[in-house]
Amino acid sequence: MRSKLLYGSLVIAILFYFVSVFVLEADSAALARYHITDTQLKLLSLAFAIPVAVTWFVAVYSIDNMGKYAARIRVTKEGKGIRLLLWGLYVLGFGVAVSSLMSRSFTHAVDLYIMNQSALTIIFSKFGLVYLFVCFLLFFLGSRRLLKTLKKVEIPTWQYFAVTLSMLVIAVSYVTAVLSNPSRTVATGAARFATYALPDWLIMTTVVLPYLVAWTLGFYAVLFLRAYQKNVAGVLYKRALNKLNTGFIIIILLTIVTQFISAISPVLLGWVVMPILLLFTLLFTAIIAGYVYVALGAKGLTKLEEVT
Amino acid sequence: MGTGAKNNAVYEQVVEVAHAYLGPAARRFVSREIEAHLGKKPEQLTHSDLVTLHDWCKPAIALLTDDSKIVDEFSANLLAIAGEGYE
Repeated sequence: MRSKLLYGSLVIAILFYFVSVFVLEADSAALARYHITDTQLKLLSLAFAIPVAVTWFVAVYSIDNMGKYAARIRVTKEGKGIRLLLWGLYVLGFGVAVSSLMSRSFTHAVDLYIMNQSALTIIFSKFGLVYLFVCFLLFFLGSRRLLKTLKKVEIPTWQYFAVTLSMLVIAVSYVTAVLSNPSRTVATGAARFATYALPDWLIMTTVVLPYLVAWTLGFYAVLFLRAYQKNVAGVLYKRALNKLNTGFIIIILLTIVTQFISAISPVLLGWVVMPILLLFTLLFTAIIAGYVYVALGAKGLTKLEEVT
Repeated sequence: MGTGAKNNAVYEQVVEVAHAYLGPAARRFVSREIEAHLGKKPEQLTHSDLVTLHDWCKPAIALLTDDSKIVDEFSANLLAIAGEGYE
């Protein structure tokens, strides 16, 4: 039943996305920026739509497999932790899909004067922040819960230090990138819309700070997942868990990278089409790899619970 | 599984062997094997069941890995608690 609902929602979302590529009017600013025709832009959008659809499919496949594993170990010590990680995946998958669909219709809603552009920008960026925050919080809680199922685990101090140092580097880079974005409050140059449409103090308190907290939770989730894998017993269990953890770590780190890229998105607008396509292809491939690892890990762990 | 199984020393020994391979899934694996193939509750496992249990557990572990070393090691460890004469 859950699988049918998941794959049914996937088909509807993909159909909606593909229809929007062909039905919605081409963005005139994009046509002028890249010196391409309406048909060429639609084909280009289609080139983006295919990897998007593949990513969604793989994400649903991994959520489905993780769901089967979570159901299988529902009443065990690890059940709660795995369920929290699964809910994190649900939030991420749902959030990414809704964001993509929102961004498809975003430009057109503004063109049709359905909503004020600044209001839409704020709603869009806040939605991205909320789902990411909830997702990373669930990953953090789930991984901590898993770690607590082990009797004695000590995470070396240097690992906490490494996380703190990484977060400091990321925080400085992120704040610098945000503040050097000329379109952060008002659209300038090639950018058609402001990235945040907020004054600097509100960008710092309602965007940058929550993202930094969310990423810190993400890093801690990675730390806890690694510690759990290192300390848990079972050669075969560890092999399956290794795939699951690798997938989660890829997904968490790439989500951070994606957000970082969106902070410097006005820089990307100045690029020609090929580097943008290449960058997105690389990101999509890596994200797909992350979801595939989660799916394989969950399948392996489910097999351990089913074999007789 | 009730506390009865945890008071059964033979069962706990089997779980301990399986734990090295299956980690947190070990207890559930052993209980499944006992119930499915011996038709008993885990707390009813006796020393005389161990060879039969081994004969079912070994192929089950082989289904989880292609690494014959792991399968053989698991088999030897389980037979070791079954008693002498089962090399």
